[in-house]
Amino acid sequence: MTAPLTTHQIRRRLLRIALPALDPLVFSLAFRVVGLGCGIALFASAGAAVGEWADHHRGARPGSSPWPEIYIAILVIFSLVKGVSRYLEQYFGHRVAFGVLAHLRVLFYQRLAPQSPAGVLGRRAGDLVARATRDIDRVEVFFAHTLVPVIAAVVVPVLTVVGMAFFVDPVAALVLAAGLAVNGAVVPRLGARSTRQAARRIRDSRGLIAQHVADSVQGVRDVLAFQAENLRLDELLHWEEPVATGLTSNGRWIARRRGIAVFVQAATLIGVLLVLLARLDPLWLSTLGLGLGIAVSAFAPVTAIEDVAADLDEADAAARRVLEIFDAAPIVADPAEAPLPIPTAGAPEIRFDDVSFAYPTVEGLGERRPGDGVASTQITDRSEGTLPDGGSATGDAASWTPFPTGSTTMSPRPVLDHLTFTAEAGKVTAVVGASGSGKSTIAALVTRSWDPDSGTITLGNHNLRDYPLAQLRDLVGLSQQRPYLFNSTIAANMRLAKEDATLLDLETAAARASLTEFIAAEPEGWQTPVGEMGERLSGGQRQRLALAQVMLREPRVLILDEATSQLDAATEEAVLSQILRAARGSTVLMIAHRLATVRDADTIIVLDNGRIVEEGTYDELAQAGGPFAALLSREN
Amino acid sequence: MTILRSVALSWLSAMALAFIYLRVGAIVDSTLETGAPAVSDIVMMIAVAVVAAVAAWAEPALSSRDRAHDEHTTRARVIRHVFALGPAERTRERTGRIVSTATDAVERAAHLRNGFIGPMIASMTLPILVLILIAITIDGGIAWRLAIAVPAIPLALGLFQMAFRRVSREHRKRSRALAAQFLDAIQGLPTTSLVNAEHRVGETLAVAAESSRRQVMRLLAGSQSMLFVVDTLFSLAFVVVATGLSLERITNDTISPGQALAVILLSTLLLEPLERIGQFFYIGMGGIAASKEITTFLAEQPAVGDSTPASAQPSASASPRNDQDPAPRPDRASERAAAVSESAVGVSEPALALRDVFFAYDPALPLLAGANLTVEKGEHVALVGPSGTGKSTVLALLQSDLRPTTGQVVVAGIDVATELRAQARSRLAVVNQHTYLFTGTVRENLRLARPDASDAEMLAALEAVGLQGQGGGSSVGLDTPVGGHGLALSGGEAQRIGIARAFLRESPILLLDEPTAHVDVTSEHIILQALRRLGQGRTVLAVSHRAATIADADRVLTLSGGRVHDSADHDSVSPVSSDGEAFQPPSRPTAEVPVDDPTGPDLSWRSDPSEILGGEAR
Repeated sequence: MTAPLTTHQIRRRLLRIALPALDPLVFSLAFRVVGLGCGIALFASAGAAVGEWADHHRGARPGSSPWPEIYIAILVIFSLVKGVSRYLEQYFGHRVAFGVLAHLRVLFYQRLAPQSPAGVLGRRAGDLVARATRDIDRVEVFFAHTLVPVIAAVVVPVLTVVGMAFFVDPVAALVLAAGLAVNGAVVPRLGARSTRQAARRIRDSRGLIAQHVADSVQGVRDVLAFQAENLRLDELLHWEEPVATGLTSNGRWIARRRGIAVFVQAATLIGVLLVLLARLDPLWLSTLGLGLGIAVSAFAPVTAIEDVAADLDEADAAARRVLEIFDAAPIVADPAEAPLPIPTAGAPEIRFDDVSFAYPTVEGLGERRPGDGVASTQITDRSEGTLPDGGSATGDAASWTPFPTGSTTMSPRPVLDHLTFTAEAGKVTAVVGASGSGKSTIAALVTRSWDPDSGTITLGNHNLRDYPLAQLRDLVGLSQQRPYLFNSTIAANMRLAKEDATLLDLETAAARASLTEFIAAEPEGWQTPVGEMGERLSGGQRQRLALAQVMLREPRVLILDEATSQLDAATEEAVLSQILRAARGSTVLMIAHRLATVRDADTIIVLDNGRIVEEGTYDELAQAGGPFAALLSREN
Repeated sequence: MTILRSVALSWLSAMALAFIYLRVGAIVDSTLETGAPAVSDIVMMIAVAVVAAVAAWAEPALSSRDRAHDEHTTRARVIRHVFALGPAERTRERTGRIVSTATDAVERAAHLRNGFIGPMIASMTLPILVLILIAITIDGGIAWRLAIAVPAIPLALGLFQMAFRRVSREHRKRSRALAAQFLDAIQGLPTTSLVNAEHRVGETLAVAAESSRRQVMRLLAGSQSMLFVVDTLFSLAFVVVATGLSLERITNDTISPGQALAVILLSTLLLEPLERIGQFFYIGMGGIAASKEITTFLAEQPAVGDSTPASAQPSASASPRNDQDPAPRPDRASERAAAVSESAVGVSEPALALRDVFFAYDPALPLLAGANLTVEKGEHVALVGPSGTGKSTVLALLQSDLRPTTGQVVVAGIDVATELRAQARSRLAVVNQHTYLFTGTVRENLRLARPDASDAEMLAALEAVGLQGQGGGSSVGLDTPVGGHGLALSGGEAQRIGIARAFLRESPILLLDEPTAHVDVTSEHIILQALRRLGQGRTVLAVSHRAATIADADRVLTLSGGRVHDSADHDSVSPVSSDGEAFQPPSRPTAEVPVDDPTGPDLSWRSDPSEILGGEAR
């Protein structure tokens, strides 16, 4: 990772990225200027009207008395134009907002896609989601609701001062200019650095608080068992202290700014009054009224951007996090050289030669970036197991992510430790081991979700890295323990795997995954919606749907990563034997959840703590009295 | 209180400005008469400007302090409620939502209550104060006739809400759907790329985003016209009318020119609500929704409550626990634990007992049906049985994480139904299948068991589990980061941290829930050794279906059919045959435990389990 971007670079890049969606911004700005201008003109002309009428009434000005209807008509016109402008400003503002939002989201997806799966799996799911939602939203807010008011807060006061100088009095204009400059340029900067630092501390602490809360929720059993309720609450209080200090210190600055702004606004009015009383000769109330009307309303555009410094800071931080994703390099990439000729027919063998691998991880706690913890919120719900094994020592994969964010180092604990084995072509090879032994990581490496740190993996005598990714993934099908289902219909989820699948294809695949009965029982059949993350289906149904997806692709290498773990033993056996029959001829790598399911495997590899500790057939291993027998004894 | 103060300060600041506007008018009048403004008038105006400034300063200065405090108090309530709800399955599943409630919602609700509602109320009511001021100091007629427009404020709020409703129903639905689709695409990306479908999904996403954007814009074009209506309404109703009335009063000589100008200046304050309406709907509504979210969560009934000791009965119908009720401080708890280990466990009372315990998650499938179990002080007992028979439920009952439908649960000689849950728990140390490691260092994770443990004690505990000193071969120190951000530990090491916690705990009774079920085979025997040491001098109840854990048990009990059966001699237990056949528990009954009551228990008097579980344990 290169040096972090400066604020200036960030803003420039963001503007460039958002440019295509920014056209309506000009209209939004124009109408805001007109609307704010009309707001000032409304009071200015009201003051002028009252003054002129009074002048005539007391006979200070010669000439025929004007019609009051004209004054009223002018005021009504300003009111209407102001209303229309405000509507149009908002309308175009929303156009920018939705345009930028859509644009950034699509771009985010496009930039993330080549980094997947490692770039998605390796980041804590909540963090990625936070960047994709909250941070993009904040960037959107910047373009749609911050930029225009800031520009208008410069343009409108300048025009107002010019108007004051031209129509009323230059000295009064100077007084007004001074007041506006103080409130618009000086006051917002008071304590800006302190506020920004406090805001950053608050964000950081909020991140830690969110992590602490997540720990308390997920570790509630341990908290209760050790009666650590008060300890946890005390710790929480400790993490909250910087928030309290920060909020209070920020509050103090906000308070000072408000106090000063209010005083300056009042003093400016008084100053304009005194200047006009001293300088106007003759003292025409029409001019005085005009001047006072301007002075009393000229601060509105400036007051509107009171908290803009904080908004800008937030937008910068958010933009930084979004750009981090945009700029991240894919963990695995297509080969630089010309693609391999696709192996003609038949299933290739998989060979691991001295393969070691550790998940990249963030070093230490200090690396936590601003605000990313709060975010761990939305997704942790069902994101357990976002990492293959090894990611989580304690079964709490949900809260945990190893991944490049700032500086990265290798985890001290390799998940796979000098692994050498061969899964023979067309045979069934099973991998067994305790949780955390590294089984699922093997699947992740064969699909090139990650590349090994050392050693080579070959598929059909070609290094895995020499396959174009698309070709590799056509060749290798993976069915996972916790498959991700999209919030659409069963058929749509199936067709994700094969776009042009016919109904017959779908039905054949469903039959192989023993899903036919379930689909038939649903009133909507293939069009049954699966719900968010497949929540309307049971865990077992989700797994069978994932199996059907894979079968639809007819891969030459089939990897079952605890693919039937949520089925009861009887169903599991039936489903697996169907799958294996259908996949006959393919190379099958079976990561086993229950040992009973690997009885018929051609070879069983026993993995413990990232090393192969035993290898053989079921009967051989069961007799040997080694690690496999020990694992057997753990099962009923 | 906070809100009243905020309202008062906001009013004070605005009314001080109003007073200045009045004086501006008076100075104009006096200058017209005398030729120059009076110095005393000017000084007074500046003094009042200072008052306005101080009031404007005080409001945020005070409320931001209260806001931090409010945030902490509310969050602590949410967390206490998490603890009160206990380790129900649903709590874990909803981690994300609960975290969001405890962070985002708490922040927004605190902001709403401190520094938002007060100024908002002040702004909305300001026109009334200003009109009263006009009536008193300038002209009653102008004030009364402008007052006709005051209903414009609630009317505008109503109009806005109407527009907002329409927007929230349609546009919010659509944009939420689109956001969900986007999220779906991001989260599903690993799956998508493994089937080479990322471009297809990306295109679909872009098309959906564009069409949704068009629809939303069409919708907004209509509903946002409310902005025009409200804005124009305010300008016309207050500014234009005020001007017209002033012109009329000047003609009648009812008010002076200076007063007329003051009315124009004051009319800027009448527009104050207009400036705030947007905020009200964007920040206010969010805060209100957040407050509701918190209230809803706090209203959830825990599965297990503390019954008041006096009224408690063995049948233990759970009373909702007051979530404010703090658990005893850990230090007091361990004192009590020590006291219990020395005196309270009488010779007559067993360390652990279940008496005629019935329990069911689902009334149709009773899990425990008349289970009886007794573990004497100092005894090591293994409870075995196939998975799903309720072994872990027995441990949950002993830890007061669950309450029996009927029957008695005794811990350290005391019926847990008559005690605060914390008291029963204080006598227990537990090692589970999974040890949860909290984000932080090993030291912080050990302190969970005893907050005042010294480094030396913690190192001794680590040594006892083979994570320290020679032979352990492990590089785990007190400062090793673990949990969320430190990955240095394997599953086996995490379990050893769990056992080290139990060492530090110094509770007389140890509960083991298959602590080696998921560890790597290599570290299993180290863990078993550590457990053996841990068990010395303690009463141990180990739940397992495996021979290894129960090797040195004094007695082996079997759980099946919802009852506990005694197996006289555990040597006869053939743990698991080499061909992987399921462990067959012997079912020789003993005199102590009635096994088969042919008539069966009378179930008619059982209370509805869902009542006790709050309908949500499963």
